[in-house]
Amino acid sequence: MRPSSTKGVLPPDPVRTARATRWRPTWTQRRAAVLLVFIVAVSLVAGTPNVALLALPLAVGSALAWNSNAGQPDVELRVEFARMAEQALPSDVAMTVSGLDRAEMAVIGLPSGMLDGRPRTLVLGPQHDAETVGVRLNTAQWGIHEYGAAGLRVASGDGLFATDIERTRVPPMRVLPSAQVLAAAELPARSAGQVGAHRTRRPGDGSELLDVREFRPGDRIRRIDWRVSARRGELHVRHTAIDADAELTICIDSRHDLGPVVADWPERVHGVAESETSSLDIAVTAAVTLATTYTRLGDRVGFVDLAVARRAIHPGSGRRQLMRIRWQLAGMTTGGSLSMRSFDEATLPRGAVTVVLSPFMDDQVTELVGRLAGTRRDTIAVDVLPKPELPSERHERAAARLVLAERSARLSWLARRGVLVTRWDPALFGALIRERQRQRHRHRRVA
Amino acid sequence: MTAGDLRTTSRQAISGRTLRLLLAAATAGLILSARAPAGINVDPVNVALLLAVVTVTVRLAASAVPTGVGVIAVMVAIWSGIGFSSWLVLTASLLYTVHLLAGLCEVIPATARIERGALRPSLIRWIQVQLAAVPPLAVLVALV
Repeated sequence: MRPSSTKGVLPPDPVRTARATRWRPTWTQRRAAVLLVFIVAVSLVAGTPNVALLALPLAVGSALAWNSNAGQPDVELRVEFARMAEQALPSDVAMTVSGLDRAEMAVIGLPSGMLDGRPRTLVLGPQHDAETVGVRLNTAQWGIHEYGAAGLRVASGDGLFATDIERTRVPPMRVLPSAQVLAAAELPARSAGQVGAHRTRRPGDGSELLDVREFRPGDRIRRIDWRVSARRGELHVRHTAIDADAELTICIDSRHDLGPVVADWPERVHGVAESETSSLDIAVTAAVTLATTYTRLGDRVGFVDLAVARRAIHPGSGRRQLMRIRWQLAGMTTGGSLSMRSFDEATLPRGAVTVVLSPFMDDQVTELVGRLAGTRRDTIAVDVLPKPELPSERHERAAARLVLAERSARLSWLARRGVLVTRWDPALFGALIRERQRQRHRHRRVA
Repeated sequence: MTAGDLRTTSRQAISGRTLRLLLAAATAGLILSARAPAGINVDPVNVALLLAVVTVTVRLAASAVPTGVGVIAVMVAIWSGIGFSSWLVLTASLLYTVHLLAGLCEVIPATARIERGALRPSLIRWIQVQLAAVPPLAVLVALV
């Protein structure tokens, strides 16, 4: 996997602060007072002066500790972090404690989510006025990562003085899925306008030279090829083909997140798997790989979540478009429903290549893909279900086989409707697109 | 540096649990030194009682329990007739030590990683107290 760079595109790092400014009464204060009073009182009542001597170190120690206090504290915890990070690339959070000159120790509660669920507290001393702690975040999994809150408590005089715990919530961070860049085939050009990065065979006002012919009335003056005209003694014009865009729309069916273990499927419909590759993981990886590959080729790429209508990005090109798609993909969760919605031209343009990433677990998605294929959209159905591991129980295995057989029947039905059906394989995808284009040319010639 | 790692300026650190172990040892020492003049019985009931007191003190450092332990230690010292003995010096020193460690444990959680510099002021104060209060106490006890 080769993660693409987002340098220069990331928003500025946000900052959160917590401030401790006021000492509160502590058990240690009460204990010092109670023990000193109690020992002296008992000594007086019992008439045993030796008992009063028990309080001597405590009295001296408390006096020294009380004397160490230099007024109210003003300690600040500053948490600096990135709003987003790249999957599998290091990302650090910097926590700076400043104003330690008026306190003896700062107790920092690190957000539990940053340390793989283990709560960790760090106690810093007053060696420097400001102290910085760096925490490396776990970015192995794409998605929105919640880290919890950072806490600050300041103490002085062996705990005689302490502040309340001041907390600051660290906002969630998006870990953008990393992408592999394919050795991809060119998408079929879609000549809706006369601009784009792709060549066509249609004559028109473009940049690709078709031939040079004699000047006719109606030809533009700027099309005259003066060198050829001078050589032949007659006016000749350059005849060009129009340029065109190629568009790709990536559709994800985000209703299911299924792992390879079939026995776990009922529980996994509502959650993203952490430890193993799930169908949603494969779908997101495929989507980001396609988006990265084709935006780099200058093509227009759009994104649609079939289950959640608001998660749609109109086709566009360039790095910003790629970032929009990756940002949306990082926030993918399971849910929503596949309503029989109609697709507008802006979101799913006709003539664009439409890639549907789904585990194809029900008829709804199959019907929807069939409908798409029937509306002049070049549709590719990508099966993202991981290789299933069947249950060991006989009756469960039989049920699983039935479900998988139904799935195969759905995919076969789609293939019969002219949809190109494939498993997600980055090495094969480019070859499939090329094969698809060859098929189309053959059909046109026959027609 | 891997995920979940901390990067701080100081590499030397002790854990909050070590601090609690020290508190446990000081609490046990306090009770035993207060009881010592009357003799120490190593029977299971006394050991269980001592362990219970130590455990509760360590677990509930941020409460009135260490205060209660201090009061009990003083009562035990009077009951055992501590007088002007060397046990008086040791008990007084340990009473302060328990007070100091309980104060630190009140603020520092058991799971904490404590940079060594954070405990330096308390350590310096503890040494100052041992030098300022304990020798005069020892001299007084010796004279009496």
